[in-house]
Amino acid sequence: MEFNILAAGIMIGLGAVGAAIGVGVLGGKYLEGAARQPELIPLLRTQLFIVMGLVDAIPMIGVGLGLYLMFAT
Amino acid sequence: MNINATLFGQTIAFVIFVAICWKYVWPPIIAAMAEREKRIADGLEAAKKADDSLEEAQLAFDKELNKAKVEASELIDKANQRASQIVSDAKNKAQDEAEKILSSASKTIENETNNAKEELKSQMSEIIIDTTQKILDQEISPEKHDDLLKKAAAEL
Amino acid sequence: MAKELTSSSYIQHHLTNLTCGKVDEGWTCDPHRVEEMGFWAFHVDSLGWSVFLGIVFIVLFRLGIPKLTTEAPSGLQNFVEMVVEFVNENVRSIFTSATNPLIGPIALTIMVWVFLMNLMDLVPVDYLPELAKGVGLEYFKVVPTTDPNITLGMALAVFILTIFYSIKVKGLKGFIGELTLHPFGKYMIPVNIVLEGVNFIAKPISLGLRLFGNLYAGEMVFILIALMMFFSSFAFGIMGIFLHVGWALFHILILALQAFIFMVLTVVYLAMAHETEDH
Repeated sequence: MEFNILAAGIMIGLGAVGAAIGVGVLGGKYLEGAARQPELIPLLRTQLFIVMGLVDAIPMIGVGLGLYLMFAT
Repeated sequence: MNINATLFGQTIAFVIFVAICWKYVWPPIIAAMAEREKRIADGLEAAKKADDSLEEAQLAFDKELNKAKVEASELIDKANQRASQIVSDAKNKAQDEAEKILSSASKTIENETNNAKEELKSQMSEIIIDTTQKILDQEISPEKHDDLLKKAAAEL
Repeated sequence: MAKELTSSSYIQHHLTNLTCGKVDEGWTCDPHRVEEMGFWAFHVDSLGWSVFLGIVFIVLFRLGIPKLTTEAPSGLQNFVEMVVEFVNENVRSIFTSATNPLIGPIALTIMVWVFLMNLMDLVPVDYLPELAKGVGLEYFKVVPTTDPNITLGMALAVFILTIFYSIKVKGLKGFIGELTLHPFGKYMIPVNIVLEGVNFIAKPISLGLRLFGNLYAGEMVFILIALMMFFSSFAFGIMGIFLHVGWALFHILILALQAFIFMVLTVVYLAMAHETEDH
């Protein structure tokens, strides 16, 4: 049980770190691109959301599995 | 969380729904949208055409108007010319007439004057002769009388 | 019942499907005999909801059609056309070289259907299972996309379509050539097979698992928030309501985003299947 919680903590924490870095880089690049070419903002926003969804998925899965480990076993 | 035949059930359901969507849902919507797009494009085209034709009509109208204006001014010019010509003709004619009348009048006057002068002369000479005869009958001899007559005739 | 209701059992209860399958005596939906059913069992709740929502999708999008006018659209038709246009736009921006009349309907179906299935996540977690309990079903799981069978099933369909179009466009030879000759040329065929094969298999699995994982995590958070009601403190219960609303608002974004990403990735995979030139 204790190891489960530890495992869940590592899973959620590392997932969050990775996703935070990823989304940070992504958002920064998006802002750079938007500042450089404001007329491309609609296009960039769509792509931003696609990539954000892809990046976002991994920590969310981690959170789900972590919560499962913590509470349901 | 176990994998079982639900997988295939869902796959089959998915294929069925895609087929239904493909056959019955997608085409009418796309067709309607395409048709609307076409109609809007047609409408825009027609509007553009109408605009063009309006412009053309305006141009033609302007052209006609200008032509009419030019014609009208030409006409007016002509009329003015004509009128001034007529006036000047009339003036000339009147002047000629006046001159003619004047000259004929002066001629007549001259003639009359001459006639009157002639008459007057002849009358006067007659009167003079009469008078002189009357006077001379008493005081002058026939020789002198002849002499005087000759003199007077020479003088006249 | 109140005695055995621990957080663990509550979660377990919420995560268990209503499973029907064949046992020795015939078909049964007895939850205690799931083990005996083996592979050929069906999650009736997931399948039922997904089919129901698929029908909702068809009806919703069909309903707009009898009144489809070319005049200015209104109401439902407006919405339908907006969605179709959005999907069409995305498909066209991804499918640049090849055209396939089937891609649009596939993308539309996936997006709307997955979105509707995701949307079931916003129904408070206890409503429908409790209703089902009233009818006599012990387990009832509402959100189809929190069932990996559903998401992987759709991914499988996409996978099959990808293979089908790859073979159709490039021919069997081209398809196998793409799998075997790719990164390193023809003298390293085994290595190529392993690399490309992993790449090839990973696509549908990641496609399905991504959707499943997101929805599963979201559902899990909802269940945990609902669990707060069972804590003794009243304050926790009130906090739970706000947490639920907050998470639901945030989750709407994820629901729509995941449906959209599932669609985009499907279209991208199918577009890759249509690409003929080497890359």
